[in-house]
Amino acid sequence: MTRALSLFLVVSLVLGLPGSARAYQTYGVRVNGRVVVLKWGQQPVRYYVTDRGVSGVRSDQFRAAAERAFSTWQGVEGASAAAQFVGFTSADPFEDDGRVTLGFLSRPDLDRVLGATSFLVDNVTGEIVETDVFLNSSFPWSVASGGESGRFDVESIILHETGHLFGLGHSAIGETELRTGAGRRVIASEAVMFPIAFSAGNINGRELRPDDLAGLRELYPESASAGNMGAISGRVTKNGQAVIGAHVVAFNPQTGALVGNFTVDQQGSFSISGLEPGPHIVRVEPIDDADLDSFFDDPLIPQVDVNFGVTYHDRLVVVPKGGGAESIEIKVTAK
Amino acid sequence: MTAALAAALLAAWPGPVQAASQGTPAEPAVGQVSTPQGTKAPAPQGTKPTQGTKPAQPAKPPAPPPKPGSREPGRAGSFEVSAQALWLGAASLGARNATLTPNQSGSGGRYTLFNSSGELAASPGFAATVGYHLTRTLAVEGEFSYARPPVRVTVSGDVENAEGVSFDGENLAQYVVEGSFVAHIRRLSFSRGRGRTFVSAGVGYRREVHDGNLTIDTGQVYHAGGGLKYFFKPRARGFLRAFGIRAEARVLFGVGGFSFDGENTQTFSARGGAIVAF
Repeated sequence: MTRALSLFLVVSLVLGLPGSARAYQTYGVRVNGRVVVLKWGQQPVRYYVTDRGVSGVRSDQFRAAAERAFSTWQGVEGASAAAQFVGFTSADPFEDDGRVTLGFLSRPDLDRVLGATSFLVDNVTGEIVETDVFLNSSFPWSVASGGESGRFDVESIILHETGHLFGLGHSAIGETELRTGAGRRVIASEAVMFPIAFSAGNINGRELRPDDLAGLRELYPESASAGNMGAISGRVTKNGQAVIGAHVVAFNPQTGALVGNFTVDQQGSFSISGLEPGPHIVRVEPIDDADLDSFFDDPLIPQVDVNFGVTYHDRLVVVPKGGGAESIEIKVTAK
Repeated sequence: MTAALAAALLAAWPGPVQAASQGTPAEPAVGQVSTPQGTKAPAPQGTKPTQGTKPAQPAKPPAPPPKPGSREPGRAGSFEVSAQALWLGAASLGARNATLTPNQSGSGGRYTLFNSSGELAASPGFAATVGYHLTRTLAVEGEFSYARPPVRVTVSGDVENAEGVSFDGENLAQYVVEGSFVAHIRRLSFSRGRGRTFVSAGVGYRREVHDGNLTIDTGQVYHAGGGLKYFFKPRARGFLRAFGIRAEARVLFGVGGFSFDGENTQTFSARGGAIVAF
């Protein structure tokens, strides 16, 4: 059997730039006509770090920041993601060498891309063959513990990119505003996996949020605690028709946790898993705070419906421990 | 009415019992000899019956009259059981806003996506109590109560100007097991002691079951309150000493359990029902 490999590129944006992110909270790859969730089958993920630093960040400092980022993901309660530093390498990220490599790469052409993650996937088995992460050395960087004005925080951006490395897609829990000229500026977000980074000097992106935790728990559930989480599922409809691309957010009023997902199939179905048990308020909104291609496959984008108003489900949805709440239907109306 | 039925009724209702205990015979059963009321002593054993086929049995000597107050409810060592309908007042569940981390390092503030608040709406329920009088004044009481108030949710202030909404989110089944001390205020008794006022205070365990019966919150509930009991004329004989009614109002403080903000909850309850003394 011939082994075909597919390369996916996931970008992390400063100002919003088209990328080719696949799917939503997690990635899916099509293997023999079926969609397989992209995730690591074997752990720990063994990674290398390029042996070249940039102005203000040496390679060993980069490595330390990467270890802190991996450690943050590894520390997620209820999930079992792990990575291990192997050594430094002279190879650049994005070289097809079968190694997971993290490092700086000069890409002045990507003038709004802080960093990106690539996947090399076996089209037969759906397994990840290689993943690389680069930070664009065209931007100023810092590893200062308290952040550094005018410089982007290496640990925050690596935390986002390594979220992709583990298989997480972009989250839409955030608010942005259009910048003069082009792109968007983030006003606030509640997910490290939000596709637009905080401003230079900001280190708020070092801390995972409930949406990030839920995503990792869904991908790598820890068997001992898998039964402690629950899920909400249902449909979003408008005039009886399925709404594709709606952003559905579950809010836990006891904890303040916000966890979201999208309707991505022709039935307008969604599923939000990794939720703590308890009542949730469910809010639906159109995607209007980032470019659609930050979240969806190209073929899906023309079908995404953004012509409806923010809507709340008219009941609390009680998430049971270790199971799913009764399926709900949220009816939205055109703006 | 047969004598058997009459005897059963005598055991259950207060009025005729006292008469029977004073020697007034009940209507004789079939085949028994009727003795004229108060005119003759019962026939001695061995005397042939004057009527019927069975020998007449001598009437038992009249029971001694109860000691004054010994049948009164509320004496030390007596029990009281009540079943009550209750009205549980509305209680705020507090508020919690859905917030995002702002794009400003060290600002400390949060960016609000929308505001939410909750309230347990007023609802009916029921309660059952079992009390034991340590003294005539002081009793301990155990209680089980149940109510299923709706959780009213209000969402407002959406950052994208969505219209605010208010809806009954679910019904929260509340099961409470409590223990109380009940002090009866003798100075405020009335109707020659049949009416008794009391104050109570106690603590309990509250179990709140959300819709679907799969998600549970637990906490404690503390209460203070007062009310009155009124017993109808005590019965002189029988297991049940007296029937009555009971009414009470309470202030409730909830600690733990379901809330939006993790804070304590406060509400009141009013209740009333039947009480039986043993």
